[in-house]
Amino acid sequence: MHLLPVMSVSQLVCGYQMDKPLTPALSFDIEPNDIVAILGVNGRGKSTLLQTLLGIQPPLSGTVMTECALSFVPQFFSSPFHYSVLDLVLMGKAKQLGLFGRPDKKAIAQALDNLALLGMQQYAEKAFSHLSGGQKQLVLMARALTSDCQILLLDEPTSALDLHNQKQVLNILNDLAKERHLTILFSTHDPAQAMAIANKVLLLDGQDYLFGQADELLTEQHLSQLYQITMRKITLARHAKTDNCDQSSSNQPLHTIVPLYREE
Amino acid sequence: MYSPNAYRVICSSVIGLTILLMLFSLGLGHYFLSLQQIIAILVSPVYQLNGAISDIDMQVIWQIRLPRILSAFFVGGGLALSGAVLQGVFYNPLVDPHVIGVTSGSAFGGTLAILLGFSTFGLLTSAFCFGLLALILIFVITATLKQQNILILVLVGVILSGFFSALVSLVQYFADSEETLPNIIFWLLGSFATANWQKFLILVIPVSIASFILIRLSFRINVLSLADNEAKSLGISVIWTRSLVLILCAIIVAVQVAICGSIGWVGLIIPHAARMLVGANHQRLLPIAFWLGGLYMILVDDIARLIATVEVPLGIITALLGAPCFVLLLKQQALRKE
Repeated sequence: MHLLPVMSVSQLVCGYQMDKPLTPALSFDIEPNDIVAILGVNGRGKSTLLQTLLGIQPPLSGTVMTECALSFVPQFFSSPFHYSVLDLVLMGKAKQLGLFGRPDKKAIAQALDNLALLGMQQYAEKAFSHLSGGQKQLVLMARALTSDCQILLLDEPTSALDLHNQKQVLNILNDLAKERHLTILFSTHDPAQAMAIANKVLLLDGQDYLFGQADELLTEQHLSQLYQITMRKITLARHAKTDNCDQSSSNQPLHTIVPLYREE
Repeated sequence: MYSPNAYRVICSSVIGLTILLMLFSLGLGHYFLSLQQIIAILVSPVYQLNGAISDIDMQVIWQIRLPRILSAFFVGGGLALSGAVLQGVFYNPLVDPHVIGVTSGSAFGGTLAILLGFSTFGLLTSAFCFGLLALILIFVITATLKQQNILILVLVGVILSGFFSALVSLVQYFADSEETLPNIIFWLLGSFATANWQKFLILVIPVSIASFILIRLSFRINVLSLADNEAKSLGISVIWTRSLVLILCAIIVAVQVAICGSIGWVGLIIPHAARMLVGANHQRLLPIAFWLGGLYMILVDDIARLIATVEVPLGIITALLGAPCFVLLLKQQALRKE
């Protein structure tokens, strides 16, 4: 069943110079509750595309149509000032508060709720700069949620995290889509992560791109071509204990895909 | 993160200390007055306390020291507030109000007025107008370069500072070394020696209005302090908001230089001290920076009046106190990080 799109991208070309576009002309629709993974090698414009969708980077050509509120979780963030975690999460309210507005008790309660949702409430009073990479990522996600967005854009949200924190962030994204009915677009270098939680993927490959259902596009052939490395899809029999970030109902087998760094 | 109660205690302490220092400072000087005399003089318009008050006592307090101390408070407050704001907006803790080039513009306006023999009002107008001219030039140059990022703003500020400093040197070169040059140098180094109610009003109205608006903008300044793309992604108009903030800071700096010359260091070290007291959040930082700046400037002015038989320019004292204070603050911050 096709739902009305929450975002329509038409002939969108991203980049900084007209003669050096980073992406081909992209056209695709994002439906409500989609989790879209954006994959591509370095320099293919994944981050620029997210910034263009967000509206902070003007497109070279084409349009992005959406009536939903968007929020962004950057790949890295640092500040020379030691803001507390709560101060930083409250900044998610900036757009709604107007020029002279300040967060009220309701906004503070919402920020604390979002921190609690991500298991970070106990760090509300701590300095953001003193947190670990994974904790910082969760705080930035709490900030994005505090903006009351309907579409969440994340730029490589797991790139600086260890495996445990990667899994935690992916589980949270999966839960947010299901429980808060958020639409999520995230860029990643890891096709296994896309396979774990995304229902759609955008593969950026120089002057070509592919957009469609994750199970149709995340194939050995497409990914090997995209990354110029042999990829192997692995199917695992499902055990009784299941994870949150599985792709399907509990009776179906688990799939993942791995690169072959050494080929005998 | 500071609890509301801790913040209230810090605010009350700083405000209480400032009022105490103001009262104490009213008595200080070559014509000493006791605290009892000061209170009697201050309440005399509405209530006569026991003890005789001479006309000279009244004149010293009402016509000389009170406008001077209040001017020092608003100058220090304005400089510290604009320093804290600009450090935030430029996301650089080493920025001070001089970085935008307005101080040098105002300094040139003032020195030119002294060279041309303008009246006091002419000097104030010239210093203020050249300060605003420097701000307009910043906007014109950045628009010409078609770039509005922080690096370009800082570079244009540095260029304008250098340009106007050269013009100040040129004015000094042409000035009469017997009379005009010493006047220029004394004015440039800063002093409240000529403070009066008229000058105080010229100072207090723009500084109060600009400071009030900046404090109201404090949550936006938090967001601006994150970096351009971060602030944009949070949905605020970076260029418009930053321009508004720059205009308000420039008004404070231009009127301050016009009233009492160029005073350095206050806008650099006081925001750091305030940040150590109440943290980085500009909603708490800006009011405390204002009061702490006022307190500090009254103290500096007291030293300037008392340290020698002749008044020492403020710029010398703020630099002599500011440099070691800044080292101590940096050391304290390093210890905190450990």
